[in-house]
Amino acid sequence: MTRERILVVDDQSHIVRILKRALMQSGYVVDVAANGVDALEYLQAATYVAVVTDYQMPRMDGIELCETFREQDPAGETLLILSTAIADQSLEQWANNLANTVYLEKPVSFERLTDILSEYIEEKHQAQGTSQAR
Amino acid sequence: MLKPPFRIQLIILGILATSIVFTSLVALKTSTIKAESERFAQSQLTILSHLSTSNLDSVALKTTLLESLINSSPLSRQSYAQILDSDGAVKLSVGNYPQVSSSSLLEYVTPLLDENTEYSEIRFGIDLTTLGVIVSIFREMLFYVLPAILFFIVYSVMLERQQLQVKTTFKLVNKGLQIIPHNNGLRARKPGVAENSHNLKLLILSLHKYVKKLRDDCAMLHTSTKVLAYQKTNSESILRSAPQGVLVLDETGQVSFVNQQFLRWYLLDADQVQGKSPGDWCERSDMRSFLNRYRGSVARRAESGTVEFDPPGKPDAYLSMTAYPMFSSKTEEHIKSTLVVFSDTTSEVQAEKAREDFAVSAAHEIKTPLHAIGMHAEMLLTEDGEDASLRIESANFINSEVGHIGELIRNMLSITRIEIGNLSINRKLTKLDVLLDTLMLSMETNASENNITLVKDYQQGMEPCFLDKDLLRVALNNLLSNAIKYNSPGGKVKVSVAEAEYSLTLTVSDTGLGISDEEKSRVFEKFFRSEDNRIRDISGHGLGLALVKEIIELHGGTINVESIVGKGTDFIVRLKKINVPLKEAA
Repeated sequence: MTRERILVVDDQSHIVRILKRALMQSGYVVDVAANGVDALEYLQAATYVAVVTDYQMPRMDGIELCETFREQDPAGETLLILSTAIADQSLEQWANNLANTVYLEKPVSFERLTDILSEYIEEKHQAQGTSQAR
Repeated sequence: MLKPPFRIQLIILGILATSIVFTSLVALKTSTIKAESERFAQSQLTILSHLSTSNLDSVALKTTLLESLINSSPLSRQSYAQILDSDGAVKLSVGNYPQVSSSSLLEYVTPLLDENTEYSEIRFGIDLTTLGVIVSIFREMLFYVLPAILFFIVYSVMLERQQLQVKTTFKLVNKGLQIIPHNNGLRARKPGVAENSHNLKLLILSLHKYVKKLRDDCAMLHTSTKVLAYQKTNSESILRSAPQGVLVLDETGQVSFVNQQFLRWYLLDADQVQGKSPGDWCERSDMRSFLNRYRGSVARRAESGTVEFDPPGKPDAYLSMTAYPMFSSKTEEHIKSTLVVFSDTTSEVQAEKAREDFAVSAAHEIKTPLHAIGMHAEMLLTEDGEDASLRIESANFINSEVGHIGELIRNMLSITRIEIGNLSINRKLTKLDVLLDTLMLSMETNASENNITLVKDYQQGMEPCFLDKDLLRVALNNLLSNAIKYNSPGGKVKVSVAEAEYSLTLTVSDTGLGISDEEKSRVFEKFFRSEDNRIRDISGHGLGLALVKEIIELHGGTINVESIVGKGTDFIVRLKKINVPLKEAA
C-alpha cells in the first residue's frame, strides 16, 4: 500500500519538527514548509492527501495559502487543515465555504489530527473503490 | 364736591343775574314792539283807509280783512281791530279788546275814505302789558330755548352718569385700599360726606404709597428679569463653549438650540439645524432614528440612550450620543424638551479595543506554546521508550515552554498593573552601576552559552540616584536578554551609561540581526512579533519591550531604538537624574 503524503506548513520549527515526527510515526510521508509561498511550490511539485497549516506565518498566511491552492484544486482532492490559536467564529464560517477544509483551534491533539486524516483517507478510498467497481 | 352754602350762593347769584337779564330783555322787547306797532299801524291803516266801503260791504270780507290785520301784528294775541260808525259805535270787532282800561294800550284810528257812504272808521289797537310781552318773548324764544333746555337736560344726565362712575370708582378704590397695607384706618368704616376731603387726602397718600410699592415691585421685577436673562445667557454660553456637542429638541422634535462643537463635528451651519427637524439635516439614518425617538408621546421621550458612530467632521473618532429628557418645572410628567449630548468617546473606544486586542493576543500567545507542549506530551505518552533523544528533547521543550508561559504571564500582569495604575513607582536611592553589575553577572551563563561577549562601558562608583530598583531591574533584564537572544553567534552586548547634570543615558547595544525601519516604530507595541523568520524562530511573546517602555515612562524617562539590519541595535534609555527624594503623584 502506498503511503499517503502530507504537507506540514508552520513557521515555528519546533512545531514542525514534532508534527513531522508524529505523522511519520502514524505512517505518513511528511514534507514541511515554513510559509505559504514555500508550501505552494511543494503542492505544485507533488500530490498531497492533506495539508496541515498554521494561520499566522510570514510572506503568506494559512488562509491565503488555502484559498490560492483551492483555486488550483477546485475539486478539493487535497484536505486542507488550518490550525490557529485565534478563536474566531468567522474562520469556521470561512472553512465551511471552502471545499474540504477544516478549521482547528489550538491546542490540537495528535489524536484529533490523525483521526481527521485517517477518516478522510478512508472516505476517499471508499469513493475511489466505488467508482472503480462501476 | 362743593360745600352746600357755596351752592346756594351760586343759585341766588344765578337767579339775580337771570332777573336782570330778563327785565332788560322785557324792556327792550316792549320798546321794539312799540316801534314796530307804530310802523305797522301807519302802513296798514293807510292802505285800509283807501279801500272803498263798497268793497267792504260784506261782513265776512271785513272780518277776514281785520283778522289778517291782527295776525300780521307784532303782538297778534294782544291786538284788536274794530270798524266804527260815525257815532263811534262798534260795527265789527275782531281780536282781544281789553275789558279794563290799560295805560299800556296803543290805539290807532283812521277813517274809511268813501264819499258815497256814510262816515265810518277803523280802529286798531295793541295792549302792551308786561305779561303779554313776556308771553311774546317766551313764544318767540320757545324755538331756541327748547333745544337748549333739551341739551342741558341731556348734558346734566351725562354729567350725573359720570359722577356716578366717579363715585363707583371712589368706592372701588376705597375697597382696594383695604388690601393695601396701611395704618390709617380707612378700611374700618365707610367715610361720611363731611369726611370726604379728609379721606381724599388719605386716599391720595395711600395711592402714593401703593404707587411707590408698585414702582419697587416693578424695579424688582426688572432686576429679576435681568438676572434671569443673565442666567439664560450664562447657561447658553456654557453650553456653547462645552467640549461636548449639544442639541436641544423641543416638544415637536425640532432643534431649539445647537452649540458650535456639534456644528464643527457634523460640518453644518447653525441655519441648517436651528428650528429644523433632524430629518431636514441629518444624513445618518441611525442618528436620525435615534433623534426622532424624542418627539411625540411622553412615554417614549422619557428615556435616554447611547449610540456610537464617527462624525464626518472628525474622522476615525467615536461619538456617544445620549438623550436626557428635560421636565417642566411644575410636573415631572410633562417633558418640556430633550437635551442630547454628544461626547467624544474615541479614547474609551480605543482603550476598549486595546483591551480586547490584549486579551486576544494574550490568549494566542498562551495557546501557541500550550499547543506545542500538548503535542510533546502526547508524543511522550505514545513513545515506546526506545527513543531517548526524543524524550530529552520533548522534556526540554516542555520545560522551556512552561518557563516561557510563566514569563509571559508575569509580564502581562506587570503591564496590566502599570496601565490600570495599580503599580506605582517606588523610588529608592539606587547605585545604577551596582544594579548593572548584578544583572550582567546573572546574564553571563546565558551569554557564554550563545558565545556572546558582555561589555561594560560605565564608570564604577556612580553617584546613587532615586530609581525604582525592582522595576528597573525587570526593564534592564528584558533589554539585556533580548540583546543576547537576538544577537549573532560570537556577537557582543555592550552596556554604556552617560551621566549629565540632570540626566542619565543608558544604552544597550548588540551586534545582532537588527530591526528594519518599518518594524522599528512597532517594536514597543504589545505582542508585536517580527516578520523575520530568523527572529520568529527565537522564542518570544512580544511583551518584553512593551513592558520596558511602560517602566521607563513610569520613571518619566524615554526609550528609543536605533538599528541597522545585519549590524545591530541600540536601545537608548534616558532617565531623569534625581538626587533628592521626590514625592510621586498618586
